[in-house]
Amino acid sequence: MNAISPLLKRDWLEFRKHALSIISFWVLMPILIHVSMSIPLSMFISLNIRYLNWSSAGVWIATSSMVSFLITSRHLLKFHVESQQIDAILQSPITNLQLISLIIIKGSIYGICQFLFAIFITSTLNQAYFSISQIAMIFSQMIIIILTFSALGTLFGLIIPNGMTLIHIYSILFLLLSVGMGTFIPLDNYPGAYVSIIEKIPITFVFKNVQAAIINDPIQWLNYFLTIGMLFIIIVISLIITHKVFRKV
Amino acid sequence: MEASVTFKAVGKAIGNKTLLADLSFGVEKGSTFVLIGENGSGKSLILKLLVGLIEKDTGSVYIHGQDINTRSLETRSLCGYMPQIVNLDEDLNIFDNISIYGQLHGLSNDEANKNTLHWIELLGFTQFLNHPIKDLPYGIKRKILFARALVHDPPVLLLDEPTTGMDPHSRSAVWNILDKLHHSKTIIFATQNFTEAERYSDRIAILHEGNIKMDGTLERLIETTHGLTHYRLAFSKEPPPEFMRHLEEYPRVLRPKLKGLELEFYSRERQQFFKVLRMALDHDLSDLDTSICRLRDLFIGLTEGGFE
Repeated sequence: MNAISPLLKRDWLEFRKHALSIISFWVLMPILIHVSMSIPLSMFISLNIRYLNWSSAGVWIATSSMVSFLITSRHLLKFHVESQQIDAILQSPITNLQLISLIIIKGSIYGICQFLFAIFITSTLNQAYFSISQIAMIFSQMIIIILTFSALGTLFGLIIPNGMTLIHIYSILFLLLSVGMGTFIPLDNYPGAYVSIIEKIPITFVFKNVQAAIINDPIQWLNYFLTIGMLFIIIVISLIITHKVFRKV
Repeated sequence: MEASVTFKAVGKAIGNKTLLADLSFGVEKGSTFVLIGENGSGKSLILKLLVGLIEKDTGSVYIHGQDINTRSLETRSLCGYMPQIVNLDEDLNIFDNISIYGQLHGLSNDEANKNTLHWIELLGFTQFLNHPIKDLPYGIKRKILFARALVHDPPVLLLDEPTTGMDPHSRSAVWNILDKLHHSKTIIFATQNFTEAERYSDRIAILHEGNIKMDGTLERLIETTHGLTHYRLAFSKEPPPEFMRHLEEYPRVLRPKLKGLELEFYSRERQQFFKVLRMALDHDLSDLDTSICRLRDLFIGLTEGGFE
């Protein structure tokens, strides 16, 4: 932990410097998605529950996943490729595991903050109220989604040393998260072949779990734990890659 | 004397290119060791290898008796490294840039802040404390890197071209500090500045294509030239081609080179010089200069195929 705390302090100082723009992003992102996705789609999609309430899960998932992915991949691109600042960190007694853990923690903290802002904004806009158990259930699902996207962002940041390519990946990811994985458009509206592929990805069910938690439906724990397993696999792959990328074997 | 840094048959290649070839040397505790070499000779690579930024392919490296592979965290905390490139954190101010890295090396917040203040004052950039990093002059950025390398008081200092881009005042401030640290720390620095290498080294290693061509104290290195002298003759108009042809016939006139109106050559015998001088007097000789062979001459000779 010795090496992690000074770097967390560094990230805190960085946050303080850019606080206004980051908080503005946290506030504007959910509002923008609510206005540009949820409201227009609410005119076409009818569900057993109010669409805007159901789709608020999509707003939380899309915004916090994007923020986590963006923060971790950008952090690595900036530190490793653009400024080579990472060398100053790597020359200190820090292990590669500590360093990627720190990056994932940073991405997750930003993702959690984004989720908190998003849940507050959507609840206010939709006048939705959740019980403590619902909030606990939603949070338990969201934390795994956020961690997974932080880890994925770290992995992509390690293997893609190019800002432009990363921007393309952000666009693809946003499209996937918003219209491809049942967060705003229920999966029953997609062709069966596509759904059968998407449903092979365990995290799709964690997205469904968040939607289920809103209406007190049962949670699918098997896929939740499969996603945790996937998260560990991503971390292990990232760790193997760090050895090649950081220490320039 | 006890060894501070030891390289044993270290090799490193990327693709087909050999960067370090069976490199072996040792640096004694409390001594200043200089790595001299042309660009790409492996100077920076050696320093990066010591702080774990690059991994070797073969061989072993020890810092204070600890293997850098098996005890990497311990060996990294023994080193303070100043890179050749400026890799400061632009999101932090000068103070935090130094202090945070002190804490990364295990200092408490208070110790890191105290040491940071000490080095900022000693290196004289207190007036820049409120400037954003990106707006600072290059020389100040280099001084911050120097302070960052020293903040945790490491026993081994690794400096990659430490005074490049600094003004003469800053350069002398850095060398004054290094002079004071001499004997209490092992200092390894890479440079292309021969004057600094001659002035501040206990031992010098001349690197060429990833291997040490020669190493030893300055005196020992100069001794190996066996009284080789560098001669420079200046002409008021370019000497004719037969002058150079004649010169090449003298086997003990070494490496004669005509650059514009200046002729440079080396020789171990004064008689040879007199013969050349006699010839030169017939071709508008305007000036002459002789100097005993220095590190620069030795380096050029070694890296360009020797003097014989």
